[in-house]
Amino acid sequence: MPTSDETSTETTTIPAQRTAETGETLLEVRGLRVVFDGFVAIGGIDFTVSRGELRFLIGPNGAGKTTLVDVITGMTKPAAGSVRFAGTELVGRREYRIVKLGIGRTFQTATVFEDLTVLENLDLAASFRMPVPKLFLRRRGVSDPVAQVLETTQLAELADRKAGILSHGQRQWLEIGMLLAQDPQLLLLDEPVAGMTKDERERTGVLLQQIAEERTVVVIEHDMEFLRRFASVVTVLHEGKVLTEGTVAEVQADPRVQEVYLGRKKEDDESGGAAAAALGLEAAP
Amino acid sequence: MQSAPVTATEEPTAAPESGTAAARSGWRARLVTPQLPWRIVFVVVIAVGVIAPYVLDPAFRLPLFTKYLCYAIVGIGIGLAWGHGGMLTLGQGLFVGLGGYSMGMYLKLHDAGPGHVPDFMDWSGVEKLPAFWEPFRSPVVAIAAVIILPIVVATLLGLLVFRQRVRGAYFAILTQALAAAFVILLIGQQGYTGGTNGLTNFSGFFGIDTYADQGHRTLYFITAGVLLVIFLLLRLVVASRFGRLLLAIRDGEDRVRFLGYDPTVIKTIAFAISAVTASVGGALIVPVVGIVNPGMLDIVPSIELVIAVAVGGRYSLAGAVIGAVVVNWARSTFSEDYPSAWTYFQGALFIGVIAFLPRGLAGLLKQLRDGGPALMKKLGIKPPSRPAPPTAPPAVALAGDQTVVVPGQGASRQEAV
Repeated sequence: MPTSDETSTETTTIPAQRTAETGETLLEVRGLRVVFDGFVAIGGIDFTVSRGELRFLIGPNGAGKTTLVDVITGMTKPAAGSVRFAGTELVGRREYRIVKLGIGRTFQTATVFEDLTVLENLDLAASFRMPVPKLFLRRRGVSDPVAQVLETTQLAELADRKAGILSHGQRQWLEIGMLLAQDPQLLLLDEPVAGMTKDERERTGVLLQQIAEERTVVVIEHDMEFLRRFASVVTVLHEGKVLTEGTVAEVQADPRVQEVYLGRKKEDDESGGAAAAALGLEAAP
Repeated sequence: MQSAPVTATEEPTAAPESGTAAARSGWRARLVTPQLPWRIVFVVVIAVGVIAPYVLDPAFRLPLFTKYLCYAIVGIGIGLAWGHGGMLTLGQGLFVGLGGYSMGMYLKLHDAGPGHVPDFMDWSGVEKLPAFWEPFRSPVVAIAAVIILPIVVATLLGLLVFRQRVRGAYFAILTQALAAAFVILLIGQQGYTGGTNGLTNFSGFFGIDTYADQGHRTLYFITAGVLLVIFLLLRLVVASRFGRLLLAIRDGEDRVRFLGYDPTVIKTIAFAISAVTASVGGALIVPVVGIVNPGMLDIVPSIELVIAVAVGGRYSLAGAVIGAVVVNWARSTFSEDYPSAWTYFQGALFIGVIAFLPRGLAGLLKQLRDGGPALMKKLGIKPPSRPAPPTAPPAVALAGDQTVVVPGQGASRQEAV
């Protein structure tokens, strides 16, 4: 298990400003290996995301998509490899320090704090850079960034309601909203439209495009229709490796991708089959 | 706890519209809020608190009552750590002991006089005062120790334990084990700590004659005052961002890490606050009962404190206070008549509360409060509403049951009545 000295890296850099040119590498994963009790979840991934990109990650179940995000955000420790964010090594750092560098994430099942109001959820997300003594002051009113997020996510009417009463789609938005309130440079979204209605998906997609105008976004998504509608660059993972990378059309035409999804289909893997169907591979020769 | 800050904006528009009717309705609207049951309880409690020392038998009942208030101080801390922070501390006796013994050591040395050792040391053949006793000759040091010792111990413990993500039952058992270890240490060092007997035979407390009726009243007012101050302070803490964050950690510690906070720091601070309250409660109980001994800090009394908080309602600070007073009062009353039945009753009470009233007695009050809007309707008062939504009908049909009060409208409606 690689150990990096937290105290020494802490002082290294504050990540480059957002004003930096797009196109420059923001996230760089090299030779990443993750092993769980002998099972190789990720077997050597190289993965690069440029600043300003809206990148989609797809792949059959067990391909290592979520694991990759877990490693980037410090939740899972890799067996080997490095993850650099704006030049700073992330492996070995604690989760909250990675957040402070400017990386935010959501989870497959939206986790919001049900006993807090929508506003309080967002306010906490926005306040993490506050020194601890200041946390003891009572919140007065709504700060500008939070008000803006309430507007963007269309949750303003529900600001004073407990998050526990939100519908599934609203929770997902609240979670994305909390991420926006954090104001990260890099957003990692794990299946943000899973379980949403068609209308909600559409709105989420538009929201994502808005967000991606100012930030770098990586989205894990199974929903191919959504992908075709909103994705520009897609990375396909399979069995812990990067299978291919390219535009939606390129990826769809790639015979290896077809094999992965169709092969799964023959074994009656439901999600793989469904994904293959959604990819439009049924019609393929 | 806090409601939308709307009431203030309604008031000025209501006043100029008409004379007495609107003014009265404004006054009534401000009084009859969802907070009303709580406010009534608060006023009643303060009134009872002021009257109590002149009604209760000052030689027996009043000191007992003061003792309950000391437990209430400890209970508030448990309410913060457990109810709000999800840290079930079964070993608050440790911190009660740090405060109690700090105070007891000062009182013993004060009685012994300069150059002398406390009586029990004499009996154990300890002729020279141990070095760690020496600073406690000073009352300032003793009182500082009551505050600082628990902070230091709880902070060290918290940083070690919470960083390793020890929580739930493991944390509870760990705190319990520490309380037990502390008790064993105290009992084992007879010559230095008074052993099982602890520290007792104090002649007074900072010039207060703890054997006279007036002295009992003074102690009562000191304790009640400290309780009130701690209660109000912790209410501020709970209402602050820190308090919200603590709830968030209770419900999803791992998620909080990805909000960019270090739960270790937040939990450690909350744990340290609860330790200080326990210590202060412990220090105050010493002059009230005239003794501090290991039996007061052991696992059983520590757990009984937790039970009392559960009965009162761990999610609310007021609940912790109510629980500590009610349960301990019930214990005294029952034990007087049926000495052996109390233990069973306490067990039944605990099970009953967990099964039927998970929010404790305070939960009942909360139901009353949530029933408040219905009550206000009956009284012909519009409930204080949230600000009118900036956009037209909400995209999501959720806020349907709320009436939106446009400022001014409420007043004119009241005129018609």
